[in-house]
Amino acid sequence: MRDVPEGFEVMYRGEYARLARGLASFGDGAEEAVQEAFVKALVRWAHVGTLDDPAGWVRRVAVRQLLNVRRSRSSEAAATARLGRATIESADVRRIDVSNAVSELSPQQRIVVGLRYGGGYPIGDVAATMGLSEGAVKYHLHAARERLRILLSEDRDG
Amino acid sequence: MDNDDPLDDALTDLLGSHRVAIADEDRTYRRVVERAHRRIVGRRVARAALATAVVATIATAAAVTSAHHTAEVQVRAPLPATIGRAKATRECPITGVAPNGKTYGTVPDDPTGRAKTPDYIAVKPQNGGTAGYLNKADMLRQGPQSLPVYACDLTTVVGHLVSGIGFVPLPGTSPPPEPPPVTRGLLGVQIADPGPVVIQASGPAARVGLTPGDVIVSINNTTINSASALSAALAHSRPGDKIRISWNDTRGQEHTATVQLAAQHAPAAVPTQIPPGVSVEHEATGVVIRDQTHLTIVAGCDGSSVRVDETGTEVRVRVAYADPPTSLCPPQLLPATLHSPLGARRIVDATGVTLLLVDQDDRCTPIRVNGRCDGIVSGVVPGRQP
Repeated sequence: MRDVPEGFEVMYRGEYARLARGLASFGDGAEEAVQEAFVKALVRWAHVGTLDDPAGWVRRVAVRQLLNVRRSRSSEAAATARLGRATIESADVRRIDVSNAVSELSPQQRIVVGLRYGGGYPIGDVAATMGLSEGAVKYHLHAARERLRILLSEDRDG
Repeated sequence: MDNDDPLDDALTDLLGSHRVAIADEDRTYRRVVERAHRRIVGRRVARAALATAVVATIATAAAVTSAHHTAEVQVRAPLPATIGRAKATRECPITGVAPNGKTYGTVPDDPTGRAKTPDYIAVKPQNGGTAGYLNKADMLRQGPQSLPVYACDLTTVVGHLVSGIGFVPLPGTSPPPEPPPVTRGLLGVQIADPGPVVIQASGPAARVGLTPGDVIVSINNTTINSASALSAALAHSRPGDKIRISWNDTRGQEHTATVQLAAQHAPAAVPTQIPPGVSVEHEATGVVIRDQTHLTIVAGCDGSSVRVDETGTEVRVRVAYADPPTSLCPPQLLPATLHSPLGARRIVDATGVTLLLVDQDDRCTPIRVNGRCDGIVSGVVPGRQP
């Protein structure tokens, strides 16, 4: 293994899986964005390593990377389909409903919901990652949940 | 999360279930480290290449300057910035010229009166915008990591050349972006009056069979009886345009063909600097300046390119001429050979044009000439007396 600056691996071990889970609703692009963020962090570790919250830097870069990537509708649809197939194999119909509903959210709402519920990040960390106030994050969470309730209700009624 | 909302449970259950296996995490970790390492190494290589290029450039510039009082530098740095060239001559103040040939400013005369040296190299970002100058002394002293880039007055810093990033202009210092370069169609012939007779054919012209000695008769059914008429006929053409050209070969047989013009950069101001009777055609490989006397300038000193700045006051060319001169420019010109540039007494040129004359040893000698298009030239070759 190549020499890795002290602190990087600790940060990676504590952050990678959590962040990847938080952004997983975006499909394959999420993991690539997270990896790219860690690559950039390691390349710039002389600077990133001196920050108060290097993991926060990585989260911000990953989210920005994810939002910048213009994924085609087909690839996104394919990712969603893969997620759907994987879920069907688990025979958990409820998960399918929720998964489909989450995919209907706006990108910002998906990130907020993903980081909060998937990554388990505190509201403050989500806000810092998104460059928003905590109030704005709470608003997005509230709006996302209301939207999900409607979507799930439509699924059940339909 | 922290309440009993079943939706929260569902979201946590779904989104938190994306488990990343430890094995995958380790594999990903190794991949991340490898990618970062490659990127770091790549940056070091690029930085070293830039340093080498800059030092080599400076060395070249200094060598050329000491020999000819003229220096030309052109380096494409491995950065999103292009280092242009700076020139200095005995006669001219230092002028920064960007790679596209645009002159951005003039350095004031050296108050010491000594021969100018290229202390500055022009730089500009590849995406257009601000141009400026790097100071050679700064390069040598600081290396290329982060160099101040000066404005035309050479005192105002307008940005920095940062290794790995390129030329970063300071906010508010960017002039309006340059318009895209204008191009016109290239036929690919070098011609001479009377006729006009083809001296050399290349590109599209050569592809349809034009050869030296042929006489062009018409373009798009418009009779062509001089070099200037041909230039006028092609003046508004565009790359990709198709023209119909007719010509007579050396046996008098007439030919007609349709030619698709290639692309070339339109000379911005040079034609206005060339006296009447002289035709100029710029090609990717050279410049031709010709009239009814006997000079043809056929290619760049490096044999591959010629750059003409937009002021049109300097042309760097390889010179070929007919020896002995004849009344009709012959196809058997001796390319890239000039035995005695001043002794020939047949050099025809625009006033104030600087020529790079190529001797038999393929050494380039700059000569500043002042003359008229009637073939009378005076000039000074460094180290010689006219």
